[in-house]
Amino acid sequence: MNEDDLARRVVGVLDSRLAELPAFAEERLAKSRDAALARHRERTKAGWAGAAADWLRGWALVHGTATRVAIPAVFVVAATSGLFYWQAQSQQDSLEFEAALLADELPIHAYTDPGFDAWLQNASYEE
Amino acid sequence: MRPGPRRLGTNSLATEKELAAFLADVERRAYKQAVFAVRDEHAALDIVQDSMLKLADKYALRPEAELPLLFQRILQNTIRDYYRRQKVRSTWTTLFSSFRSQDDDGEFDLLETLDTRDGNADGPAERLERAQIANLIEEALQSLPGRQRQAFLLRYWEEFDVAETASAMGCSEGSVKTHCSRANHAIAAFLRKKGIEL
Repeated sequence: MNEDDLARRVVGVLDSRLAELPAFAEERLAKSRDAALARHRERTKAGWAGAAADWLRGWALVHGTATRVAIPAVFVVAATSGLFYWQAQSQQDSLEFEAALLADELPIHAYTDPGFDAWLQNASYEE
Repeated sequence: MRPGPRRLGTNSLATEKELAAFLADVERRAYKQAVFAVRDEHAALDIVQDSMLKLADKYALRPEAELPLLFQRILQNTIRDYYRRQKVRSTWTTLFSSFRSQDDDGEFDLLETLDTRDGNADGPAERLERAQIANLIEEALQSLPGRQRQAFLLRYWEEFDVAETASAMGCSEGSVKTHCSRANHAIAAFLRKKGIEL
């Protein structure tokens, strides 16, 4: 007899035993099922946010530990990249402003800005 | 023949009716799987209930086709959690039992360890023989190492294919094949030793 034959026969015996579960087990399983269905009813009312969270959780559970680590890692890398980009952008704006100041190409409203005037005096004093 | 997990072929979200049908189909086998693993009927029922609630709570809005695999992952994780809790408990029990008196050892009753579930001793001879063979098969399954039993039950009883079994167990497909082959050999050897040829 090959392995599959033996496995099929073993499973046949196991299946036949399923009808002989003790009454307390049958009763408890039915109660557990009812409780699970009640929970399902509550959860399906949660809307799309719940659906998205379920999808992510289920995907991670099915696709193993590597992806459970990979998803947060991607978020961390994206957040870090965003932060660096924002900092570089701020620095660039500041450099452009300084360059415009040196080239005397300031917009006219800069001279009416009291903050700019204060900064100018302060910068002159520092020099 | 009992339909396997592939009968759940739709990718639409599971409705309450579909979830009810799925749970009704899988609950008895899940209970037996848990009994084989933890050897305690009441703990097995707790494990199945926890698994059902987790499935409904955390994965309620997953497609119907994914329910068998998700449920098996949850069930195996819940069984593993039970083992962990038992390990911690037994560590404390061992620690405290060393302070207890020797009189406590007299409370052990050998009769409590016997399986009294099968009350068919007064039935026809064939029925008795079938029950005895079934008991031996269950005994053979319980004697298997956990991973072998898990692979065997998922592959043959739940009718998962090798890839699905590997995914449910969190191991490679090669490991699944090895576990299944070893489980088959071990069951055959166990039954031969008891004088049974299937």
